[in-house]
Amino acid sequence: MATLTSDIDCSRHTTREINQAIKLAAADGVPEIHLANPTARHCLAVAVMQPIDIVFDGPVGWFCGGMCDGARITVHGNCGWSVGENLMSGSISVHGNSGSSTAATIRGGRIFVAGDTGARAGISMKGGTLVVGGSVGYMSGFMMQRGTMIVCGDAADGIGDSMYEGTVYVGGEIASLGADCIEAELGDDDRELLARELGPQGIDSSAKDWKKLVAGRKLWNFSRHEYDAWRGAL
Amino acid sequence: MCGLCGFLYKDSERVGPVGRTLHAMLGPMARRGTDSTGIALYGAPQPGSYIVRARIDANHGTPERVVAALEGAGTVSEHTQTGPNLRARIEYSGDLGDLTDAIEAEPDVEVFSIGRAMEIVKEVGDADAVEAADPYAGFEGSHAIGHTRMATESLVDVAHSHPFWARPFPDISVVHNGHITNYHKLRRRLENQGHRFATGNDSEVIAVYIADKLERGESLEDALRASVSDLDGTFAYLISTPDGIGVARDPFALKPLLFAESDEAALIASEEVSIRAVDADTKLVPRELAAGEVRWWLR
Repeated sequence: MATLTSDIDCSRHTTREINQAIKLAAADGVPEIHLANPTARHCLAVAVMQPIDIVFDGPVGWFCGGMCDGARITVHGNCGWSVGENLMSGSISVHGNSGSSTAATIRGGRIFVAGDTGARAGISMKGGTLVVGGSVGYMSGFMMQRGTMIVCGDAADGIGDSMYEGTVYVGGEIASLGADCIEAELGDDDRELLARELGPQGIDSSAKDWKKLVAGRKLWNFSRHEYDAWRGAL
Repeated sequence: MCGLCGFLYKDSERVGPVGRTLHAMLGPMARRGTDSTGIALYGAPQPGSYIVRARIDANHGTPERVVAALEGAGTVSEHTQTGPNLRARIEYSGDLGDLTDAIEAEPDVEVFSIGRAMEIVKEVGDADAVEAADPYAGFEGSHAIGHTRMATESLVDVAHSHPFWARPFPDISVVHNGHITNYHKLRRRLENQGHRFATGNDSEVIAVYIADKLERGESLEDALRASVSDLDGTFAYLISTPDGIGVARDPFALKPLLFAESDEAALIASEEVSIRAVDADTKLVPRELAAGEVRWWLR
């Protein structure tokens, strides 16, 4: 297979052929690859282990960019569930909405969703950064362990439920905090971080009333004296 | 997993190739369910008559006896049989439960649907298998819902395939993805009210539950909202009525469901790939329903 491919029409290939072409192009040092007509197909650009710019001209399906390590992915359209699942490094920019479990279990890298996400955005994040230009769905940040989630819009019920560590910033309204998620004081270093992360996306961080959410740490160790907290979590 | 899809023309006067549209939308949904596929289609209603859809898994004169039973109940103006699938139009003014009983008095006969506009077709296999067994892609109508099933409980056969008719309520059916964990309790409650069930599939209870509320005068919106708290378990479902389609998603958002709409039509599907099957140039912007959200489109 010729590997110096920089344009792929997804409608003419199987998902396996597309992913193999992307990986071969990345291994050959092709700097950028464009993919037309993805039509919301699942599992595109997964486990790409070299730095390469991957541009989807249209919506992609579930698990796009999962397990990638160094690739820079841009999607001009929506993403389905679990975009960037277990991302190690690199970036994914979604110029549309994304489905549930956005950025699930990411360990590094940066995921930006210009629109809204579904439920459980940032579930079990272990590092990295998730920036959402719109709002996030139910129980986002659930069991977050590390990393940063920035939500410019609103957060649905249960934000940050049972989070261990990490930080969630919400610029809009919070429907309700999840179990053991508490609001912390916003400092200058937080404002600098928000400006640094949102500036490149064309978002003015100073225009929002940010809330900083962290773990209350009452669920770290069981205590019968904290029975109500445990009952609420379970 | 199971795959859901639906399509509706918003204008009450408009009809179009809903069979072809659903066939295209069901194609990508085959990955979510390979066991069976089914569609509920709504054509132009004809007051005074019903369309009966039934499957006859027996011979030795059974089809003739079923037609005779129909003729004994009312005036049969047309009937055709495609393989085991019977389609008949009957002028009938009695109780639909009695009509269903009369048809199913013969062994190995199952009524899929009775409605003034609704017709349910289903088959083991994918959408192409349905089309091969009982062609529906040429159907012209106002709206339709479809389902691809991955069975996790109850049998893999045509009877347990979706959509489920809310017997004996005409023109109401459901397709569902998930599990209703308080199924037995809900079913007992509805049975105590006189309702009957054709299968042991938990999804069937949603159809009867909603139809019962509509029968009592509740709006589709109110019935959908009540279902979110009354149904336990995981669910994304589409309920179709003579006037439209309603959808609901469970409070934990555990099953996927998206919708997209234009001035002319509403499209619903488990995954965007199903919507893109009929909107490849990406004019529509699908959105996922939020946890516990309900929506409805009435013509």
